[in-house]
Amino acid sequence: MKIAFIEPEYKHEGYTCNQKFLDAYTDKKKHAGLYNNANLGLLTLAAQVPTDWEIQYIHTPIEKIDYNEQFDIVALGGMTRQANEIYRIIDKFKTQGVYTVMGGIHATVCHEEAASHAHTVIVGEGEDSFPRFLEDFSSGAPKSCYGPSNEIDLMSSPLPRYDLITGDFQNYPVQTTRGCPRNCKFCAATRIYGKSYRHKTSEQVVQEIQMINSVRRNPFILFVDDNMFIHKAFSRELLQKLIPLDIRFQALSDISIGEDQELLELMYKAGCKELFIGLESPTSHDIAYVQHNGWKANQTKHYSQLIRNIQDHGIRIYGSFILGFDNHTQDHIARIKEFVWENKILGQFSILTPFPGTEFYDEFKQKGRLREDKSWYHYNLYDCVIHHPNFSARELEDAIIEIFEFTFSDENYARVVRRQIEGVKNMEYKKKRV
Amino acid sequence: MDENTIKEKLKTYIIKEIIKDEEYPLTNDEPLISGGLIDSFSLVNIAVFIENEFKVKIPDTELTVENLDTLDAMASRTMKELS
Repeated sequence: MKIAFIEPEYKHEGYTCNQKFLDAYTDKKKHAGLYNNANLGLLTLAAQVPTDWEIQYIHTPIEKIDYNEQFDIVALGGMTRQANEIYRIIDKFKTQGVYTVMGGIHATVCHEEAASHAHTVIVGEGEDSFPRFLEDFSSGAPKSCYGPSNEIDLMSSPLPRYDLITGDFQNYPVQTTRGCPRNCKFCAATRIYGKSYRHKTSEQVVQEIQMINSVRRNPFILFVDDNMFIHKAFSRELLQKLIPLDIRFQALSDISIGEDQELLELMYKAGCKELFIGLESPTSHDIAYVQHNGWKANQTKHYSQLIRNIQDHGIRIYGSFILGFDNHTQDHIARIKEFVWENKILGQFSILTPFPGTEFYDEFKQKGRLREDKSWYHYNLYDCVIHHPNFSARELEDAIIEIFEFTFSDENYARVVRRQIEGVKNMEYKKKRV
Repeated sequence: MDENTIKEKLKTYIIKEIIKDEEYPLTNDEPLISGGLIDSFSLVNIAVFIENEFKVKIPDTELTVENLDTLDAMASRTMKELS
């Protein structure tokens, strides 16, 4: 048997994906192209394929698909913005008689749509379902849909097949936990992964990094967990074990990490260079809209102090902000830029995008506020897919470009670098004193 | 301290601590960050090394990739601060 796992390309079709925008956002010099990395979900499923099967991992942003190759199965997965491209690839393989499987976030939340293209759809986490599909396929009776299964035990999740990666990536994804207790209305994590917060063992994570080290010298590790340091005891244990590995990494966290000096110290020692933090907005009244329990809104008054605490530990902040809440006006653009400048941070700035599977999607769809002329290609965070009371779509898209250009300007970038230098020196000084 | 000595010290630091390959044949004009050999986080470590090792302070406005992208550029920047 021969199976291909295919990571579909992110097509740039929208207005904001013009060259000006891409130059600001993807400038290798300033942010190392951190988001170009292999598909961890596919590599994890690949680990469950019987050892006597032939496996190929094709990362289409850098590798071409050979449609003449005789695969028995092609498996694809991805996010909403990749959905149309996934369907295009699947449809093409189907005409050649190849069996197609689709999983991942979009297939999970839009499984009927996915089923109109793929022979089989894997809904939810794939670790339980995919081996069952492989068995059924081998015996000649694959089902059209598998899952959703119960929340899987991450401690039994297989070691992803990093060895299948052929492209020369600088960054390698590793997942240590699944789930997020914050339950934000714009995020599908809770609906997809459930409410419980689960983690791998620290030994598993170390093994995964050792495997990455065996295929790529001096890699940069991206911990792709939605919110990595919720389980404090596990985080401490894991970070202690990462120290001897001498790695560099970025992780995603909520801002509360700034309260935990002990964990921040361990993170620095373990090689944390940057935290991606969903700050959403500098003001509390619009954040109140994104969560029912108001947790995030209550944090905004502490943002600057918590950011300083993190930066004092030599860790750079990459904030994530959303523009396009109903109360946003032109003033808000200036407020975000001011916040970026004062707090010496970089960031990702996106237009409020109601992804399918989120509470926002249901709300916007019900109110007729989703733009009908936008396909899944445009659900890329930077193209406007909503009707906004105070901005036209083009105004919001221009605002995003303006904020990106400001944030990644030489002037702001130099302030961010200086702030991180101060943090690193602070940590070195502390180390010497000890 | 002359510019060549600075370059040698920087080279030793970079291939050992950042590239982590002491055999790497790093040349004085090889673009490190823009060439994708090291990532932008390493810019911070290099700046810290320069400031600690040579007892200088790089002006904030000069903390750009262009100024610290090659051994030549780093040494030249350092010499300017030393003088």
